[in-house]
Amino acid sequence: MNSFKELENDQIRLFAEARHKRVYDRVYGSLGSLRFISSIIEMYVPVMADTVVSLTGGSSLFPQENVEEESTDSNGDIQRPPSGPALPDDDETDIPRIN
Amino acid sequence: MDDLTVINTYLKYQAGTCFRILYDRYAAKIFSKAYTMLGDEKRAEDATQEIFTKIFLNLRKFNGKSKFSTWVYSVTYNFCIDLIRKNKKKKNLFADELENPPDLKNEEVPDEDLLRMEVRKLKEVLRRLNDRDRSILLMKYQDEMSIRDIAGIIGKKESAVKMQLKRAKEKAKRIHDELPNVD
Repeated sequence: MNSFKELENDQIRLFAEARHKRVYDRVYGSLGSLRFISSIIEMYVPVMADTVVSLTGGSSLFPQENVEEESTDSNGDIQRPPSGPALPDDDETDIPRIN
Repeated sequence: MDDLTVINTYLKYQAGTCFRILYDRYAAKIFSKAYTMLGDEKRAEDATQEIFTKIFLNLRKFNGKSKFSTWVYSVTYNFCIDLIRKNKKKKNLFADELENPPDLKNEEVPDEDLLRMEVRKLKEVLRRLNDRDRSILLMKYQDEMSIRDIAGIIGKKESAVKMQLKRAKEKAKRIHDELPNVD
């Protein structure tokens, strides 16, 4: 074996003893943090850019779909589709009150 | 599993196992080179961490044209050389050349003279060489890279690499011959 390879093997042994796990944990940890930060940026930057565009009068990059125009009835009240079961009036309820 | 398969799997699934495989294959070798280049265990350890992080963040840039090991070592040498240069910003870049002028003899130092040096002496020889000569000798005799690969890494023509290698060998031999024989 040539002396350059022997030197490399000596230093590899030096690394294997204690440093292998320590450096692994540090690298894996910093990569995890960077991945988390980049996913946050990926998620929020387009939304922030869209907000700025909207505020400056531009059209949204994410057009909202299925938004129906509100219509009014003859009394001028806004008609909306029912959003859930109607709440019973106090008088109509069959649930006994606990006094 | 070869390096390229591991890399592609990692890029596709971000699998921790693939990271572990590449780390186990290369971390110790990166540390070894960083230690030889920087001459300090603690700095070499920090450099290994930074180099490995850099490699993984730039993994998509690896195009598979060269061997992955060649790419990893080129990142390692360039990182270490940058670090050394940052630390001696004010020092004249050619100071090493002036302190250790190349031998102007024409005959080339045989490879065997370097390959048979005692490890203790080789360590000292490498420590005394400048970073360019040290890295080119490591690339040639430790990593067994071709002249073409070395030229690609250091951004010089093959003829310039051959000349630099010849001079580095001469300097290494001269330093070696000046070292005292201590048993």
